[in-house]
Amino acid sequence: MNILRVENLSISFGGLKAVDDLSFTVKENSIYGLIGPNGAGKTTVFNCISRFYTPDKGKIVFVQSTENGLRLEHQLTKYKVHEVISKGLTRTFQNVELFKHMTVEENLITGLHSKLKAGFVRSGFFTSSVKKEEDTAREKARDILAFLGLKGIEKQYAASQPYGIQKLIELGRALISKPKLIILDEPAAGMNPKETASLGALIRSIRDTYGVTILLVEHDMSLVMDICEKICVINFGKKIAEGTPVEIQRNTAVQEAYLGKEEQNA
Amino acid sequence: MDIFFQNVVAGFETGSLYALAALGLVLIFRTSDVVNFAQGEMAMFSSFVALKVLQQNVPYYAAFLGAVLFAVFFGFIIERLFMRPAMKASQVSKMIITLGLIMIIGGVASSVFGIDTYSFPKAVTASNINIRGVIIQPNAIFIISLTLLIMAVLFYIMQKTMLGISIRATAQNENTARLMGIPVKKVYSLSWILAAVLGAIAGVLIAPTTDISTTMMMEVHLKSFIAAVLGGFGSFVGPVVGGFMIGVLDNLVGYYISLTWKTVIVYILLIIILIVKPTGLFGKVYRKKV
Repeated sequence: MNILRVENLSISFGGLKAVDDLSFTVKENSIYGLIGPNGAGKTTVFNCISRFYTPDKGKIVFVQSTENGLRLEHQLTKYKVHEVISKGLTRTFQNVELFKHMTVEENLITGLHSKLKAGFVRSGFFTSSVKKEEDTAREKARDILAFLGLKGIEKQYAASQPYGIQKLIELGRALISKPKLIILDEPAAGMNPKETASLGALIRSIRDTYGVTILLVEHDMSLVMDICEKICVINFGKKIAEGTPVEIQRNTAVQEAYLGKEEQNA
Repeated sequence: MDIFFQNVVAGFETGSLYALAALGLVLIFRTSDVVNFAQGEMAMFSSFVALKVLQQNVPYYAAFLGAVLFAVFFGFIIERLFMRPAMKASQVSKMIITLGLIMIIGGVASSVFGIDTYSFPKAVTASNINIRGVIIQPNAIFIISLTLLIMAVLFYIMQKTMLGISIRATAQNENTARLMGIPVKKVYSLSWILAAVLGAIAGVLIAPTTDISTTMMMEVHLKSFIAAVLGGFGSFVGPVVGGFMIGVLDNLVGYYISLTWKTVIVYILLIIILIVKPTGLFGKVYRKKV
């Protein structure tokens, strides 16, 4: 069963076609990798899915499984940025985008706004139902932090944490809204090989524990080949290959995109 | 000693009005990083509304309430009409818009309400309390406690509630806030409404001292800016302490040193404080990792 269908997606900036007629589908509960050389348009695809950009052409369909077993198809292009999260889709950023001057716990709680029952303005009042909601929010934040192995830093400022921890906090903030699909934009950027390996294990355990589908863009091939079940390779905004890690490694088009074409008479 | 305390009490009274006006400034600044230069003009306009309501022979509290209700509407309209279309504009452009608002609101006020000066009653008119020779007006007690209460409520909302978290998140990173499902447009709308209400309260309370006219808020507005800078734009406690300090210092310097030089001396003191603590008394310094 597919959770995300990207169909004939195209977007251009000025004369540059950043994404050109791109289609791919992501299976539910899988780890799907989107790779490509620098400037291939990966982050642009992500920005279209999370609605920061509106594509010129094409469809992005997100399939939401409801609690009573129904499957709702959402045309994501119809929604605004702040509505996407309530459908069950959230993301992290290439450069960590935390609320720096807020505590770690508060950073996670922002991810719960889509779940607020009290309503936005009422959440500022002092009724008991609001208080209860806040307490559960803090509790959830603590649970997630414990899962990520970040216990004890709840009340510290996000900005004071080391880079690797900030990336985990961002991951936690994405997780707290109980999404069905998390989009990770270069989660391993700036990490050493050891950290990258443990990140791979963490991403897998997030998928297994929380039952989410993961779509990631990544430059670190060891991570991509290690955890992704299916990979889509794009170059200059176009899909050049799709398949399992083994298939991708053998694909000549992919090798050419990354390493350049072999000269025939060399 | 009596005279000293008398000056301090009077300082707290005017200081809390600076503080109320400053809280409105800080609120908008904290949600959108914009300094609202028109805060004083907005307060003036709401005070005129209070006056017009009072002229209908209704009790004082009805006029007060009328001004507050008008401010809700006023803040909403200003955000919708002037600030929201410029949402994507730079911080500087937005501040220039608020400068333009000074002229628009001032112009509309003088054409609607005229350029005359009107007197306005005090909120509490009970007889004065005499504590060992220091005379305290019940009105002063009312103003000071109202200011402290508003500060406490704002502080609580911003620091402890989900609403506060969404307001702070919007201020720090609008795009990410939106992605987290925070309705940032509502956050902006709400902060302008609250700021307008705070301004209206400050305006109505200061009206007995300054009288109501189109220029009534000039000095208060300037001092509220200084209160906010002195206390630090980053907190709600800071501007209140800053407001109190300016009010008290103004009075003491005026009485003991020189009435003509009091403003100059007070500002020199403030500059010295800012040299020692550039982020304001309560401003936090975040060490950025590089």
